Amino acid sequence: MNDEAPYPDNSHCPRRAWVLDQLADDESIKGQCRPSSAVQLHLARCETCRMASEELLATNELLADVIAATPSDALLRDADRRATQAIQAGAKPSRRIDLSRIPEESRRDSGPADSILVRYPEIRWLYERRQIIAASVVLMALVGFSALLHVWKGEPNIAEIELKRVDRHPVTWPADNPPSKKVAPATPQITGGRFVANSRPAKSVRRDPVRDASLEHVGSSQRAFPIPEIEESKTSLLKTMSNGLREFLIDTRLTVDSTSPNSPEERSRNEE
Amino acid sequence: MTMANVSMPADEPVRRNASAVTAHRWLYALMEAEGPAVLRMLWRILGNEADVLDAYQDCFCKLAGMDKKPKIRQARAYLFRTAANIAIEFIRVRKRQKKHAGAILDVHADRNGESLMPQEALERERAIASLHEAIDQLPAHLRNVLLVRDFSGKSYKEVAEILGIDKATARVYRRTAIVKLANLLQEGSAS
Repeated sequence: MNDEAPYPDNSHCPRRAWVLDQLADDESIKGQCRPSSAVQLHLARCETCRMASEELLATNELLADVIAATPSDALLRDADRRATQAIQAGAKPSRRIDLSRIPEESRRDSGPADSILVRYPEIRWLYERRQIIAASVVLMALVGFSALLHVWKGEPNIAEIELKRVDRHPVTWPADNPPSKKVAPATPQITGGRFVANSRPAKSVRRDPVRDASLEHVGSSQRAFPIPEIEESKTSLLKTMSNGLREFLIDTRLTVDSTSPNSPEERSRNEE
Repeated sequence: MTMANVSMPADEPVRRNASAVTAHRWLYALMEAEGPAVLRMLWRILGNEADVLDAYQDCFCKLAGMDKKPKIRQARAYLFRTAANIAIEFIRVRKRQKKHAGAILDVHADRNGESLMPQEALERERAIASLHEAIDQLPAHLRNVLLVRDFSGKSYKEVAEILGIDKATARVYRRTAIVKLANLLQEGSAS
């Protein structure tokens, strides 16, 4: 090692790790052995390693100082007795955060969860299951949101419900009882728009050629058999709509002639 | 029931009732075999009688709370690791305390029973506190080797058995831990 030259830039000493490794051994900490002559020689020449070794030796000294402390036998007996009693009593390990030993200011700064748990230890179970609880809350929020969305979209109005009911109960005229022409005038009022669907024959209904021939004079929109309750609901719906329209027109200061040509009385008079 | 509720008569001898001894026979055997080493480690880390007693009791309570009896090697490893973790937790609490309390003399006052000058004692305790903080910052695998080897005084063979690593690895880990510790202390003093 005598041929070892001093390094111009000591911050990049390649032997630094080796030196520190040698100095960090147990025996050097306990003072049982001195660094080898090679290490000593290198330390004499390398300033960076010397500084690093001084820091390491200071750490070693501090560590040796701490390690020199030995507990008394009385403390061991006390510890054994206390641990035995705790085991027999079925004591559970406590949290390390002891309220009595932590000053008030420190308690405030130890984080919200710690301070709350120190003050309310009975809710610790809640804190430990916080992830499950958070997942449940998110799930409930999703369900609630979807329900809210469903309500917000709105329920189908009464006309749509009635239409669906009529769609589910399509009835055709019996062959021996063709619809009279008196029934016909009522249907044009409801044939426009979606009410056309009423007359769509169901797939399950068998086609009867004789009956179809007898119904040829009746339009496709008039083949639906009038069910009393459906008719009532249609009538009430129409009344409601006409009343609403009338009120709207009155509100907008438009006059409505009760004997308009479109009224049923006028229409029957014209037919006669 | 927490351990705070367990009373500790001062001079009462250790009495173990029959059922508890049967249920935790292995634990008492472990306490007799490894208790001094664990207590030594806790004392060297914590240096405070009350904290050491609490930590020691906590270690064995945790072992007693295990569902089934572990193998003796597992129990030893668990005991030392638990003791190290508890000690580190104490150090963290102390760090919080130190932030506001300022006075750390009373924490380590009874470490060696020495009567130092207040300034010397303060310097020494500051150095020890910074050493503890540096130990806390070490990676767990290095810290465990350092604590079991130096603070509890176990041989490398025992360290390797307890931590489940190779003997040579334990030696390398310890050296690395010391070098890192020195770096951390230097950074701490610089900051």
